[in-house]
Amino acid sequence: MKRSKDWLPTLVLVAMLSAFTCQAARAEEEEEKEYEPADLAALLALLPNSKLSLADGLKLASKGAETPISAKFELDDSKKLSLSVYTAEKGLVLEPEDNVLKELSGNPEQNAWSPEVEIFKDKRHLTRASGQLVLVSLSPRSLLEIVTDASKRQSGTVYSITPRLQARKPVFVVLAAKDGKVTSMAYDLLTGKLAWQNERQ
Amino acid sequence: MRKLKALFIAAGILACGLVATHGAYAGEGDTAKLLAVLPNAKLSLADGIKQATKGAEVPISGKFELDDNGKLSLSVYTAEKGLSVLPEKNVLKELAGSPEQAAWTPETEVFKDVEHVARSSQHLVLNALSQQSLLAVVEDASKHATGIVYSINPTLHGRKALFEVLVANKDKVSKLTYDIPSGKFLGKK
Repeated sequence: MKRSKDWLPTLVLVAMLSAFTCQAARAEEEEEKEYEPADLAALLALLPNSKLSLADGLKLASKGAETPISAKFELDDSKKLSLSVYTAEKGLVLEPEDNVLKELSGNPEQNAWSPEVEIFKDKRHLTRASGQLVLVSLSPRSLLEIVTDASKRQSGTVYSITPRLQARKPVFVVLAAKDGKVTSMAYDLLTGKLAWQNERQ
Repeated sequence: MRKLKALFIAAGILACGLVATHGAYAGEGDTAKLLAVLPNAKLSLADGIKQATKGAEVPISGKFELDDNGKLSLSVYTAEKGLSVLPEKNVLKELAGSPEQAAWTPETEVFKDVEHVARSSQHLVLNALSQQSLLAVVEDASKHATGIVYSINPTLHGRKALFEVLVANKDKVSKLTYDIPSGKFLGKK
């Protein structure tokens, strides 16, 4: 009987490792939904063409009260490289229904980024941006601070930051690319601290 | 002349006092009307929340209000696919109907307009951060304040996530606040 109790710490360790692995796997699933595999490969190939970093986009999108709530490099409808930043025009203090939620997106392959602006009115973008505004407003750290921190921890190009709920935990998911590999990092949104990071092909 | 001036000042102070008292105790306009008809409800807010919970469907806010005809209505916002599904992949809706009959048979509206989509997305995200269900918070609020719990609303105040619960006792309204991430009761005003 005594021997069976010796297994307890091992079992607890295995359970904790399983939980960690599941969390990382769940994050990967969500990333894959955000970028289709073929698009991701094309995006990673085009990323070096950008003359602006994600941090540059965040800085340019911050004007007066206007505050970025997510940002990413992506392929536009013509499969060209685009830098997209979602913003809350009236800042983080105003709730989604009283705010103006929009996207600034444009080609980052020139020195000057001159994005087009879309104010969200459709359900899909409005729900997404509303959720992002709520989450970002709860964080003690700005998107720019998180991206700067992630860039120090990870060599390569930081190409996406999104506030999300993962298993009902609020996190910033940051993606970085280097040599065709993607590293995902999750920051606890309420503390701003790095929660985990995970590298994959 | 001095007496007249003093009289005006006194009247002004009295008027300000009356307005402030009215605001603090009964609220304005619709709130006063709502409080007057609230005792006609045969269902509690907790009953509405329980009834709106079906399978994965989860209430994300609830309140008694006056409908467009000025009649008492019980309204519950829900997330049809539950709290683990993001707003953009969920179905956000309102169940609203008269609570003055023994059975509540609400009409359902799936939100499509900007104002309600934005508001219900916020409600869903804030509920997803909570350790406690709306029902648990409403039941706890009933212990902290005497009267009828008539509204629970997840909200952002100064970038803090709070549940605001309103309780009516005759013409007086108490506002109770709970910290959403921790579930802690913060106080009553």
